[in-house]
Amino acid sequence: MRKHMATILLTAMAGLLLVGCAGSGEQTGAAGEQADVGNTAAGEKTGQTSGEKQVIEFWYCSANETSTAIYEQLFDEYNSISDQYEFKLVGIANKDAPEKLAMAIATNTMPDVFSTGFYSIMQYVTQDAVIPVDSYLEEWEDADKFAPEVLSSLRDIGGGTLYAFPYAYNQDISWYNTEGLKELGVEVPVTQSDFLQLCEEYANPEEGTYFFSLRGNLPYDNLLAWLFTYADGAGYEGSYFDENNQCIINKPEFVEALDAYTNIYKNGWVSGSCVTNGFNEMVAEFGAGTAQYIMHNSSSKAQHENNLGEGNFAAAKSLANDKGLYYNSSLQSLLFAVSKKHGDDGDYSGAIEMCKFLTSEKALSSLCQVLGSVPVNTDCYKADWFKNDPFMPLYQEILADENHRSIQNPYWLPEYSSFLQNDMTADFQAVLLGEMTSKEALDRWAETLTQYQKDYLDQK
Amino acid sequence: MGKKTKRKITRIICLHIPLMVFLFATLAPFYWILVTSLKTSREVFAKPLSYWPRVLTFGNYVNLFTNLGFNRYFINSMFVAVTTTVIVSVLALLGGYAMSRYRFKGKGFVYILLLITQMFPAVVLMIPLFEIMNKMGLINNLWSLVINCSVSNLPFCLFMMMGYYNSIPRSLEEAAQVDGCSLLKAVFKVLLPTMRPSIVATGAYAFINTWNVFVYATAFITDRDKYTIPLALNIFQGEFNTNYAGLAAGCVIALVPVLVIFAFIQKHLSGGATSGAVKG
Repeated sequence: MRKHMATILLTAMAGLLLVGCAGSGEQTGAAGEQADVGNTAAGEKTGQTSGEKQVIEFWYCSANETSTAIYEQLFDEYNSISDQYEFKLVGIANKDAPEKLAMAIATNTMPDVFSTGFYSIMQYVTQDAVIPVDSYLEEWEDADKFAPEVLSSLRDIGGGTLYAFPYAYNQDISWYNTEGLKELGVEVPVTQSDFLQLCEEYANPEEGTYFFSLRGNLPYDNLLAWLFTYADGAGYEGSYFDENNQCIINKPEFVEALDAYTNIYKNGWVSGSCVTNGFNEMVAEFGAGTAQYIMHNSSSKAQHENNLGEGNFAAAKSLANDKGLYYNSSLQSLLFAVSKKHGDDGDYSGAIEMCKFLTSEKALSSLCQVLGSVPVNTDCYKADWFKNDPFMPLYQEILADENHRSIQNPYWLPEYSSFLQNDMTADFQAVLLGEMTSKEALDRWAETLTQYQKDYLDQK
Repeated sequence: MGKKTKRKITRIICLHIPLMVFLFATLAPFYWILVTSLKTSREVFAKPLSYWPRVLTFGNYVNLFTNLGFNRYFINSMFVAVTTTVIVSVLALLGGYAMSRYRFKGKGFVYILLLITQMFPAVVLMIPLFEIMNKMGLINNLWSLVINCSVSNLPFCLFMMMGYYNSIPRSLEEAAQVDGCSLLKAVFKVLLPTMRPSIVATGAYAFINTWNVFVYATAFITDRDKYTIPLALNIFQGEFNTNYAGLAAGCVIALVPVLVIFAFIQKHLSGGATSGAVKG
């Protein structure tokens, strides 16, 4: 018996070892490629493999099962007809992406192209990890197909320079449970005052049901939209900073707006856990019927479909103030950046070819109709899927709406992303818990942002 | 009320009820993962909350193996975990003996050096490790995980093994040597059988640590074919979309080998984990 066991164990071990070795045989190629990538950056050797084809590596940094399957199919199709390039997809989970990219930058093993968000691009610019793409866009025959508002918003962030190609954007909106609102017998709130009334009226702590789910963790865009709408901009004229480069976010109107928002929590009109609710928890409350209304953006469509089922939820414009005006953060574009792996004067034609492919009508249609983001290639707007989509026409309507105001958040500041994630969350939660007043929090934000802006201008 | 009944009631209140509460708190998350894995995505969030699936589905498991390539990830994880466990166990067995039985120059220094290696979080070492693996051509190669997991697990396993050796009287192997055994033979023929529980405990520690390894995997592996299970589970959590039912099914699959191993070795483990605690 023992002998048999030993034989079985040995065979299993040998089998596993073979698995590893067999893998490593293949892997040597892949690893070799990876090593070449590093060498390329050091200027030793180009990443040529697969016969005559040049391998162009793409890191999709918001990978999930769905997007990976879409890109794999698109790349297979491209690779089967291209003689010049072999596109290689690497899917990276969103939360791992910052570390992976930081390591790739530190070790000179950047991919040719990677996806990122408008909120991170300036960090990579500061690290000299991406190339400006204006000159490539000028030579691009389909350059006019990019939605101009998105390009302009991105150039604002880049201080007049375009550092990445946009492929889609997320529109700030509100989501509501259609059945839930019907059961309550209420209309979708249009103004902030209507909304506050509904929050008060339909908060039922005994049954654990509420009208709204508030996001206490990383509240940024929706919180800012609330503040600016409630304060009706408070003198905002296209910038967070006044003529003396002082941040205006601590004006009394904003203090009043933050008080109104945080009172929703303090009054018990939302669940107690909202103070730490991040995106997942907020969407879970909405999906479970605990809350009937949330503020987010277009990108959470797929999650609502999973949780509530198609047709059981709908999108609405963000809440307006009593004048009917509503403010949203400027277009939150999703980007393809070309890494600076070949140095300043390197040949980036392969990477640009990949960007052209990734922003084509076909690629974006495949991706965006599943993700819920709005494609920036205007050819997509003529496609049937776009016209028939229950939400896309609303997003377009918002863009053209004269009551809509766009807030240009200072994403050009390299520290702004970390400010949103750390300072803003901590202070906002402190206000919710009554450990800080709205004025104290906004004063701190204004002071921090003013300092960042000063540093930015000094270094410019 | 008789004395016996009183004692019985006290026992129930002071021992059985707290144990049941503890057991419930420990097992409830596992139960919830299992139940979630058998629900459809919609039912996960459906209200009222269901403690058992209204519509029992194995679709999440089928999806793992048919569409998401979990069979490959499972084999990859198994390869990395088993190979690392073997390497670490053998090296710890031999190294632990040397650390326990020999006096040599710099022993104290080596001891401290091994301790220090345990004080660095893996993330801090990531960039130099990545550079080394890249230079060795081991990026997207499972051996990079085997090497790093072996190296990171070895110091602690060595300490564990050293403790076990310390608990065995030296006279045992000396007697074997007097009877004509070589040193290695004495270790393998005489000490090894007595230390079986300790080796199992050390091996189990190395296996579970490696089975769950994520930080190294996320740094060294980008090719989907080389994914290990923790890495594959991460893909269920998109930026704005999490497949909770799929994630739960993946977690159940990831739990199976660990549970099976514990089922087989628990008898050895309870003795082995503490056998080196008190020097004999």
